Amino acid sequence: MKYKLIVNSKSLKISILLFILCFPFGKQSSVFSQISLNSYVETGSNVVSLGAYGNFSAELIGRTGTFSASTGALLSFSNATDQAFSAYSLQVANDFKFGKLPVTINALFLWKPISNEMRETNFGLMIEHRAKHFGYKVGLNTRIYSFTQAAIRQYNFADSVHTSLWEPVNVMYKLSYFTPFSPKLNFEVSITNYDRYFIQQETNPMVLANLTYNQNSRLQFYSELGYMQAGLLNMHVNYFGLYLRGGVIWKID
Amino acid sequence: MENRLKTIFGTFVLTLLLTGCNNVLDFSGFIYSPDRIDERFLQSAAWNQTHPFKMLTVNSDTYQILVVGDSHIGGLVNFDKLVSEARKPENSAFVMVGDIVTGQKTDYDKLKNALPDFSEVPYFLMVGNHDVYFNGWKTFYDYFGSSTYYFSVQTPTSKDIYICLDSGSGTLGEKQLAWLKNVFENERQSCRNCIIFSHVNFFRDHHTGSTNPLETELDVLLPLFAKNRVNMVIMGHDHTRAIDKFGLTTYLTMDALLDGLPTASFVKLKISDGKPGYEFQNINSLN
Repeated sequence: MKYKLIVNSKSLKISILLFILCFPFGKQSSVFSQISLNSYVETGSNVVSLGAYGNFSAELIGRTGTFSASTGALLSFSNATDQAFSAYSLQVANDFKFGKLPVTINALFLWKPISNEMRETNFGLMIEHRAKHFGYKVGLNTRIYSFTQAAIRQYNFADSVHTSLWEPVNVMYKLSYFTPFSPKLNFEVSITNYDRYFIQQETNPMVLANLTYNQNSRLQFYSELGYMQAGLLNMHVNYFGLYLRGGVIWKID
Repeated sequence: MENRLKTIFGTFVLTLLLTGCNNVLDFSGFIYSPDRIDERFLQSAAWNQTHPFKMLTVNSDTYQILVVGDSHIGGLVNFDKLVSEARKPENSAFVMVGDIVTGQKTDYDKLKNALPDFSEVPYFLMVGNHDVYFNGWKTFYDYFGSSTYYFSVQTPTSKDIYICLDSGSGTLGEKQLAWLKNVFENERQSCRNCIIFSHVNFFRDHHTGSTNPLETELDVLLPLFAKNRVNMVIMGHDHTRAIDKFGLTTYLTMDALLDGLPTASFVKLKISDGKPGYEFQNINSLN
């Protein structure tokens, strides 16, 4: 199957430009004191993937003081789609203290070309607190489905036709438990309704398990297992999908 | 402090997750469901092999079908009013889009006894999440057969297709999705209008405890429906009407028909001038 990269939308071009501006090449001119690269490969299958799929992601993370920013992209390969580029994300975060409670406030932008003709755009805001063994993350996102300009022309939509659909408010959450198995090996399990490149509705939680190995101060390997099910809050659970990923986080600077 | 946070967060998540609960619940489905969507679909498909899809013939290019959701029989007051309305000559059939009963066999028996003869008033049923509680799928299948099928309406000049889907488990499942794509490929071109019925509503345009299909699945269904020029998707589940228009497809979520509900209503789906239109009718205003 031939795959093609979808890079012709205005919002994606702007995002790529921001990507380049936020992370200029060369240590001397970098605005971030610490830069990391997070990359993973993933395989899995679900109800709509038409068999097994493969994903590849690369994410650049910059940190300076209490501020961090990250930008990442996802490539997907499956029988269900002929377009490889399947998501782009941009996040900014800052650490704060509410009294004695350290929290991180995180704003996110997630853009997905779900077909040749349609896009899904998400904006979100989350607050996070990590304690010794538990992590709490909660926030809101807003989601917009929209047709591309090319699709609007192709379908010859009249001016009265709604070319976008807005879901104004959806709650995002992640409750995590983590524990070290050894000084280098850490385990984390979460109940959540989102992952790096998708945000489910608040009534569709999933389970995510993570194992991280700190090779040294610059290199970290991790593996994650995600289990998705439909119908939990219909009270008629039905398996939806499973995925496994392996990744590396490399502190470049 | 951490313990307090754990309590608050846990309570928050549980409240959020459980606000979808109503009465008459089958909690066993939280852990394990004896019939999954793929198994139900295979049974529906086997039924369809020996029971051809129905075609209704109407005398005019303008006709009307009544559509209801979430009757949750038990009570039959509103259902009886619906059937009386459906008997009127301007109505060609009625469709019940899931959560027809509570899942209990006694309520399925009530429904079976209250339904009119198909030859007098054609009706089409499909399951919602409540209908499969308490092993209810077995009873639905024994009494009514398939929950995944289509029927068509033949007018003097055109044919319209109505596709009934089983979304009682919160997903169409792999096999039913493949069947749907096959129906689009083989049938859509020859039909004037295409209307889909599916219990679980797609969108959250207001805060609600109802579960929806996963975003991962909607990312496939929305382009599929646009590509195949689906005119309307009529859903229930949320008990609160919502109208979402996206491209040429209208996504309509109905009020519940539940007895005692002040907003209980049904939809008059009217095909006129070649296109589907809709009107909500409050059942309490009927005699």
